[in-house]
Amino acid sequence: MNAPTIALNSIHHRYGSADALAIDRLVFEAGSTAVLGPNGSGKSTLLRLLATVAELQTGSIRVDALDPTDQLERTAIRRRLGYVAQRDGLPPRMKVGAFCDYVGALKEIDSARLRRRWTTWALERVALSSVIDDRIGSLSGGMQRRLSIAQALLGSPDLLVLDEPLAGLDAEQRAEIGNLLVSLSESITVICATHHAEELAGLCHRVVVVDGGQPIFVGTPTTLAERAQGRVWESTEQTAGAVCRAVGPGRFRCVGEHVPPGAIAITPTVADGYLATVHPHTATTGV
Amino acid sequence: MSMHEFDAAMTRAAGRPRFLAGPGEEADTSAPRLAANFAAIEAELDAPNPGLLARVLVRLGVGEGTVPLVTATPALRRSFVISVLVAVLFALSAATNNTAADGADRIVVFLTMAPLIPLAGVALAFGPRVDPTHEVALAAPIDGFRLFLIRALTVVGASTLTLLIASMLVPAGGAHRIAWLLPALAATSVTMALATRLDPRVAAGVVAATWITVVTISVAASDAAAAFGPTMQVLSLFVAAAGAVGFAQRRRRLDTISDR
Repeated sequence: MNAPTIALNSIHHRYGSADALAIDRLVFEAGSTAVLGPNGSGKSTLLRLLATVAELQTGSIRVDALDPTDQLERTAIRRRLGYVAQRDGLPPRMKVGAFCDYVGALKEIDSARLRRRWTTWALERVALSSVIDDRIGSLSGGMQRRLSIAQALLGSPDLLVLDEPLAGLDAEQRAEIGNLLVSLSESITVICATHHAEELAGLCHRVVVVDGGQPIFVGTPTTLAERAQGRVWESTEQTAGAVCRAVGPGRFRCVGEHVPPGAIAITPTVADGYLATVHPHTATTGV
Repeated sequence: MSMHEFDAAMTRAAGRPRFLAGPGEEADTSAPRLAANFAAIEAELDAPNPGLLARVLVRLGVGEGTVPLVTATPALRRSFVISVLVAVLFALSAATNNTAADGADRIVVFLTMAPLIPLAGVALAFGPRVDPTHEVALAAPIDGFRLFLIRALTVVGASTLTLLIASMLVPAGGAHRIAWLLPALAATSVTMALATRLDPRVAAGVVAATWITVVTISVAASDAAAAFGPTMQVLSLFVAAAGAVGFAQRRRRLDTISDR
């Protein structure tokens, strides 16, 4: 099996009467893709469609040539898939090992002995081997998030769809999981929604920025950063009309339409490029 | 996935970054005897330690791949415990209140309430609101229909068995004591069919309300014996069959979440 390519065409998805997603065409190539966007922008809906969890309303999705609306082909996709939902979906009273065993059974790993091997293997990947007999409810938030990633790794999937994999992790854990995902993406397709523009999106092969249910940027992290070229500066005070975030005591990093007189432009980061893209007053948007 | 497929996956993993190396990769394949020893040690270390229920199920012929779906399903534990517990309470109640005076009323209450117990079990066994792993299960290759069926049969089987024992303890009613069986089958079957469209708890609520209304009207129009008589039994059989057909026809809706 090879790392799959996923193509979405003419997707329109609604929650009741509210539009959630509108995509004319979007392709996820092999390697890693970060999906960035504000809360409520449609990231999770997009990932639930990619993970074949949400029913496709209009349009088409193809995972390589497989159509998720066909039952047999959907099953074939799911055999290649590892999925971390936005909410952990972990039963607190269950033990870590039993949970992995259960997910292994859901993934059609029929042999108990084999499930045990996969469990050991996956927990080692996320440094959770020592808690295999602990109850999930006794784990910290970060450990629970890593357990979610471990269950997704069971069966060595070719396609990983991860909704906020770094949520709740401390800086060291974010670095470890970021390294893990980037390394995985050398041989499989990894798609993750994240708010961590620098720590995860900056490491990915590609970035998709979603806003208002539509992809407004598709490109590399470098290209995204370049969108803020000449529009980023540091200042001792917030500037009207710019998006400013504190970077230290009395220091703000601002993204605006242009650098104000007296301020010195600095090299933009992926986070700057993201802000310039989603903020209509600071940059021209468009795919 | 077979052991052979696992080894194949591990071989693929060998081409991936080092941390992805599978457990089999550590063995030195140039030294077959050493590798065999490692394999034997690994097999012992890997050997799972199943619980009592799992061992019993395996002895009964339940496949190794199905056992965790019965024994470890998070939502199932609660629904299983609740439905069996209520059934046991029924049994105790039936056994301890055995005066002849209230026997007739008691049998009506028993026959009315008994079908609702497996119904409650099904309502609490599946769905995004009761099962924290619902989305993870949906994204897995296991058939949603099969998963629902395994859970429903487990809960319904356990509660029905307990209720049958309870029926034997009901002091009055004779053969009528098991007149709840077909209505329970019908109610469960219709709930499962409705659960392909509605939240299982809502589906169970609708069916329970309908059942209680039907019984109330029937008892008011005739008497308890007639209300649960042959007509009700035949009707229940038809409803159960219709529910089963509806459930089977709409089973694909259990494979995804509809946001419509």
